[in-house]
Amino acid sequence: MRKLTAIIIDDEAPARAIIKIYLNECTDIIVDAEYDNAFDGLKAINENKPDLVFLDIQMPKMTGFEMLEFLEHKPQIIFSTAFEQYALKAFECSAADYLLKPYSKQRFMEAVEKAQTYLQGSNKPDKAFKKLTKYNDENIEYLQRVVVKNRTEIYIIPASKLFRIEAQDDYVMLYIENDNFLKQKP
Amino acid sequence: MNHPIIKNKATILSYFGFWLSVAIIHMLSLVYSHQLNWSSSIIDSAIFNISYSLVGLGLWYPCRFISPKSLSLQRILESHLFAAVIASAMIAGLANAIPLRLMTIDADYRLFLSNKFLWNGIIGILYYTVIISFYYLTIYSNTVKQQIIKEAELKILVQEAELRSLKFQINPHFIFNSLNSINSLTLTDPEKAGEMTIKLADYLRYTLSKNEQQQRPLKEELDSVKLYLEIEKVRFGDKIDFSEDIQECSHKINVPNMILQPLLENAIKHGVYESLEPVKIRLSCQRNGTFLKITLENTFDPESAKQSGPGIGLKNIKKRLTITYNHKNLMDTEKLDNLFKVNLFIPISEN
Repeated sequence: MRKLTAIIIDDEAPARAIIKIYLNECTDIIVDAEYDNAFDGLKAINENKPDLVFLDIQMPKMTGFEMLEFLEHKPQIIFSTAFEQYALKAFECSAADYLLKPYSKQRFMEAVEKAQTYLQGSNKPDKAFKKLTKYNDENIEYLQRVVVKNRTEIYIIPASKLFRIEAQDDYVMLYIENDNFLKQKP
Repeated sequence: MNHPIIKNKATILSYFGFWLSVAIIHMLSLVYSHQLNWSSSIIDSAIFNISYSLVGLGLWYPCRFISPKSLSLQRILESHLFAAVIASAMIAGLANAIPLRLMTIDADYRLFLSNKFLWNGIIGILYYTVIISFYYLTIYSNTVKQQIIKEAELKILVQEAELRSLKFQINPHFIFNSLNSINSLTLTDPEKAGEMTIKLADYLRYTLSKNEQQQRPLKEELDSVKLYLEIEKVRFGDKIDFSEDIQECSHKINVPNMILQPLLENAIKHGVYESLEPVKIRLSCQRNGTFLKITLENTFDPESAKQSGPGIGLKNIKKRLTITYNHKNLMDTEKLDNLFKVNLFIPISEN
C-alpha cells in the first residue's frame, strides 16, 4: 500500500512536535514537512499535494480557514486548535476531524483513522454536516477581513476598509480606497 | 436612636447647666423687674424650671415617634400643639399650686402668683418649642450623617466590585495551548515539561487567587509577569524578543496588582500572535518624581488586519487606575509605524 503524506501547519513548535511524535507510530504515514504559518503551508500544499494536513486555526496574518480558500489541491484536513467555537465551521469546510488541544493519543489516532477512511473514498463527511449546519445560524460571526489572491500575491483586506462589493458572475469585485480586487467565490 | 441628652454624663451636665442659667435669669428678672424678694424668686424659679427641665427630657420620646417621615406636617403640628398646651398648663399649675398650697409665702408673692398662671403657660409653650426644635435638629443631623456614611459605604462597595470585574481575566486559550505544549514536552523533553507545569501552576495560583489586597510591590508584579512570558516563550520560542530596563529603586514601589499582566498579554496578542517575524517587547520602569512610569513597547506587523483600536484589556487598566487613584489620564498609548507603546503613570504613595 502506498504511504500517505502529511503536512503540519501550526505556529507553535511544541504543538507541531506532538503531532510528529504521534505520527511516528503510524507507519503508513510520512510527515512531508511542517510550517509555522499558513502562507508557507499553502504553498507547500499546492505544490506537494499531501494526503493529510494538520491545521491550526489561529495563526498570524492568515488563519487556517482563510488558507483553505486558496487550496488548489484538497487534502483531508484535521484541525487542531484550542478554540472550540470553530468546530461547526470546520466541518462545514469538510474537515475530516477537529482536535481540541490538548488531545490524547487515542483521540488523535481516531482522527487519523477517520481521515484514512475518507481518503479511501467512502463516507465523505460533506452532506451530513451541511444538513446539520443549516439550522445553526445563531452563532454568526461577522466577517473581519477578506483574503484575496492575485496571481502569486495574497492580500488581506480588513472588512472596515471595504466600501463596496460588486457581484460579477462567479466572482466578486471588492473595492477599497484607491484599489479593487477580484475574488473568486469560495 | 438613643436619647441625645442622657446618653452620657457630659451631656446631662450641660443640659442641667443650661437650665440652671435659665433659672438664674428667671430669678433675677423676678427680683429686679417684679420687685419680689430673693427667697420668693428662688422658690418660683426653682419650681418652674426644675419641673420643666424634667419634662423636657421626656419630650424626646414623642419627638422620636412623631417623625416627619411617617406623619403629615399638619398632624405633627397638631400633636405638638396639644402636647405643648397640656405640658405647659400642668407646669404652670404646679408652679402655682406648690407655693400656694404647700408653703408659707408672703403677701407680695401670693399676689404675684395670682397673675402668673397665664404668663407661665406662655413661657412654657415657648420652652416646649425650643426643646422640640433641638430634638428635631438632632434627629435630622443624625439622619444626614448616617446617609453620608451609607453613601460612602455604597460607593466603596461599588468601586470594589468594579475593580474586581476590571481585574485581569485569564484567557482560557492560553491555558489550553500551554497544556498542549506540556503534553508535547512530556514526550520530547520531560524535564522541560516538568518545569513548564510548575510555571503554569505558579502563574495560575497567582492569577486565580482572590488577591484581597489591591496593591503589591512592583518586584512581585514583575516576577509573575516573567512567569507568563516564559510560558509563552516555550510556545513561541524566538518569536518573542523580550528586554527590560527596570530601575532598581522602583522595585519596592506599590502598584495595583495584575496591572502588568494585561499589558504583556496585549503585546503578545497583537504582536506575536499576529506577526510572522520576531516581535520585540521592551518593558521599562522608571521613577519619575512622584510617579512611577511604566512603559511597554512592542513591535507589530502593520499589515496585520486586526486593527481594532485599544483592546478591552487596556481600557480596563485605564479605568482601574482612574478608580484607584482618583485621577484620569494615568495611561496613554502611542501607535507609530510598527511600534505600539503604552505608558502607565503610577502615583507613588509615601509609606
